[in-house]
Amino acid sequence: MGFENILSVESLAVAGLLIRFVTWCARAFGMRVLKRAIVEGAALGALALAVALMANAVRARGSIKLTKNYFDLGLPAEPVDSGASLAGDDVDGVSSSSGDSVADASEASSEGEQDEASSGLPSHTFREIDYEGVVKVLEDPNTEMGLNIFVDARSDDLFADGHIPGARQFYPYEADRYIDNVLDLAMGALNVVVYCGGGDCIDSILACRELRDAGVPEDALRLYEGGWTEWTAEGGPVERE
Amino acid sequence: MSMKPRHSLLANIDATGVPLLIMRLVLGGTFLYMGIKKIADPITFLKQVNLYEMLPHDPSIFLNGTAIVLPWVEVICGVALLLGVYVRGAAALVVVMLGVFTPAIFLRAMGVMEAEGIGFTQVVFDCGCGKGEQIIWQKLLENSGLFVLAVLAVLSKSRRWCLAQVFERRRPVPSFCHVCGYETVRPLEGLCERCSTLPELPGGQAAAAS
Repeated sequence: MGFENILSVESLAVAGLLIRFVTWCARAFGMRVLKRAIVEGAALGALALAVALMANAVRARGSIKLTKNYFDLGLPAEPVDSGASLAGDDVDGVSSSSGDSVADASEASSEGEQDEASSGLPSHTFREIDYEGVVKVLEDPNTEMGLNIFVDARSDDLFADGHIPGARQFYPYEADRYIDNVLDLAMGALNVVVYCGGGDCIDSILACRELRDAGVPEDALRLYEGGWTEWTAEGGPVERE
Repeated sequence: MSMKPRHSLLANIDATGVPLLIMRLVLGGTFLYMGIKKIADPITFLKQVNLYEMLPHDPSIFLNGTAIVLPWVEVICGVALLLGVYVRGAAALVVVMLGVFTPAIFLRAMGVMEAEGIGFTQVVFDCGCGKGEQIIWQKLLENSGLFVLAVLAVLSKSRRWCLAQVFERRRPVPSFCHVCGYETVRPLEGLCERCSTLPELPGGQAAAAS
């Protein structure tokens, strides 16, 4: 993504219209009006810039880092062999006492993991898990022992309204604030199921990227693409703060 | 002997100060409210700006800088308009902001319309203004109305009920008439454009007519 949209034909046409409009105003109402508007506008703009940067630096929550790319999906520079699948690959020790394996459910969803058109999400390299797989992980005895964890990548108010039972909050846009909440558990977990709102929300992908960069093995990360929207639509259990 | 200048109907209406007061209250209140909503949740605003796909992710200073600074520009313009300080500059910034936001919203709406195969009047999304999901054609209409008000506020010569008028009286060379509040030529050059009063200099003395 670059400045393509700003430099598109439509945007340049609109900019041209605005410039013509301003020029007409200057001719019709005098340069004095325009000059005063520019000087005052520049003064207010400079004041706003100074106040904004100071406020951003001192605020405890919601601070934005100027140079951080919050929307980096963590794609590798070289194409990844997307032929790797979970066929025959037990999903990291999930109990199969019920006769079923999470691997089966994960297999079904992993085939589409690189297909943007079918999922609505941009491309990513994380293994996906579907609703049935998430339910199996939730019911697995390993989950009670902390070997499987759920990570909710939504904001405070959405998390408080309801989340998957036992889920830990990790809002990727404030990673520094939430990392201590999940890192220790995630490092030792067999499966880290990460979800957000679902649909075209990319926060779960960003959360997976942050956790991977913090040292969580990528093999342990499971992206629940359906997210909260699908979880509640399917009647999954909900825990509230 | 100087002739009293003839004024158009619009200039007469403007000189009452009432239109500018209404414009200031509407624009100032709207932008102050929207700015505060964005400042309260800057991350959500950052995500909204990103959805327009107009600024690059790398370098991220443009996208992140916009999310940090723009809400404060709205707040400061809102306060300036409500107080009546730097009215012309605040209104000019509002013109620029609306001149950028409105076409961006329109272009995004066209994209949504094509992607979802729906009519323009059915397009609904959160444009990032702070009011949540909106019916976009109504939002565009609202923005166009605010744009017109902002342009008129830039062009208005009245400064009645503006804090700026109080400050002007203390300047060595005031720009606003102390009688009618109308923006006037510099006093050493002539009478007030509106009421033909000799401008008042510091000390309460009237300037000599040129």
